[in-house]
Amino acid sequence: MFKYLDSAMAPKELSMQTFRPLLARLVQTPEYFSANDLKEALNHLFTPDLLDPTQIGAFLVALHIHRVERRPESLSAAAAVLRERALKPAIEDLDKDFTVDIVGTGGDGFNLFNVSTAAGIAAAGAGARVIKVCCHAVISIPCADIKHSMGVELHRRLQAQLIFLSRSIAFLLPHHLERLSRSGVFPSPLFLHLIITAHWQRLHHTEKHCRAALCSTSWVLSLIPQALVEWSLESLKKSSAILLRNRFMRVAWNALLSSAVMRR
Amino acid sequence: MERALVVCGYEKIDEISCAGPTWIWELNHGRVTEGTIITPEDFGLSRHSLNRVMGGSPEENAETFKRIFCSGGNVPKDLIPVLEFVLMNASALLVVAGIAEDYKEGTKLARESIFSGKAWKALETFKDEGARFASKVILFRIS
Repeated sequence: MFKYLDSAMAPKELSMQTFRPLLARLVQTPEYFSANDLKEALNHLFTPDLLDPTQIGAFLVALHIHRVERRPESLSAAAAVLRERALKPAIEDLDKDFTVDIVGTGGDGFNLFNVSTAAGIAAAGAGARVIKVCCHAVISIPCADIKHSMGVELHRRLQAQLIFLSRSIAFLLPHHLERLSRSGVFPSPLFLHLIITAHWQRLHHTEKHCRAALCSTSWVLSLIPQALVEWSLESLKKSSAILLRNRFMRVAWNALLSSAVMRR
Repeated sequence: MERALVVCGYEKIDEISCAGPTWIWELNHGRVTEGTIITPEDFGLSRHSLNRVMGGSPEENAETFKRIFCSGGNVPKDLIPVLEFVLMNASALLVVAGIAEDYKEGTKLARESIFSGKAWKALETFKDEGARFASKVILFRIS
C-alpha cells in the first residue's frame, strides 16, 4: 500500500484495487473520465511496483482509443502530476553559468544514428555545460549506446541527483518513462511531448541561465517557443487547444498517433 | 529560458537534417523568430542522404561512436556522413549556448572538440563522477 500527498486533496492510499475503478471508468464511460481521474490514475502509474505492466498497457491504450489523451484538460492534468513528481537535479553554479540541453521527441521512424547524444558530448568538449535529458529512453536506445561505449551506468535517480562538476556533461533519465515503457505500449507523441515539457519545466523553469535546442518530428514543437516565453500549464493547455482546433493539424496528428502508438 | 532553437528536418526527422533543409524556430531573450530555414551549407558541410546515417544495435552504435570520437581526426571515410550529421547538430547547440557566433564557427568548434579528444574526455568525466557518486551511495547503504 502506498500513499501520496496531493496539494489539493487529502493523502490517498494507492493500490491495484484503487486503480481498477479508474481503469473501468476510462474503458466503459470515457466521457465521464475527468482530469482529476487522470491525475489519480497517473499517480498510480508512477508509483513504483504498484501496477502490473498489463494494467499500465491497458490504461495507455484506452487513453488513446478514447482520445482522452488529446483533451487539453488531460494534458494540463498530466503535466501537473509529472511536474510534481519530477526530480530536481543539483547543479553547481547555476546562478553564475548557464546549462544547455539538446533533446528530441523521437518517434520519427527513421532509425537514424543517435545524433543528439553525440552532439551533446561534442558540445561539452567544446566548453558547453550540457545536461542531456534522455527522453528517447522509451523509443530508442541512446543511453544504451553510451553504456555500451564506455561502460557508463545511468543510475536513474542517482544521475538525477548528480552534482554537476565543472564543464562536462550529465545525463538525466526521466524515470517515469521507463515505467511506462515496461507496459510494452508506446506512449503517443503527445504524451511524450508532455513528459518532455514537464521535465523541462521542472529542470529549467526557475532558472534564467538555460539554453536549449529542441528537435521535433513535426510542426507540434513550433508552438513551443512561445510556451517557453510564457511557460505555464495554462499556456500548455492553450497550445494543445489550438492544435486540436485546426482540422489540418488534427488529421496530421492522427496520422502520427496511428503510426506510433503501438510500435512496441 | 534565455535562448532556444526548435528544429524539424524537412523529412520530419527530429534532428537538423544532413540531407537538406530544416525548419527552425528561435527564441532569443523573449523574441521568437518563426519558420526560417537552414541547410547543411549554412554549417559549411556537405549534404548526405539519410540512408548514410542510419543507426543500428546498441553495440553497432557504440562502435560508430567510438570510431568517430576516438579517431583523433582520422575519421574513416564511411563515417564522414555521420560525423557531419553530429557536427551540424552540435554546432546548433553551441550557437544556442552562445559559445559560437554562427553555425560555421560552431561546426569548427565541434570538430576540434571531437578531434582533440576533449569530447571523449567530457564523457569520461561524467563516467568517473557517476561511478564515484554510486560508490558513495553504496557505502552509505552498507554503513
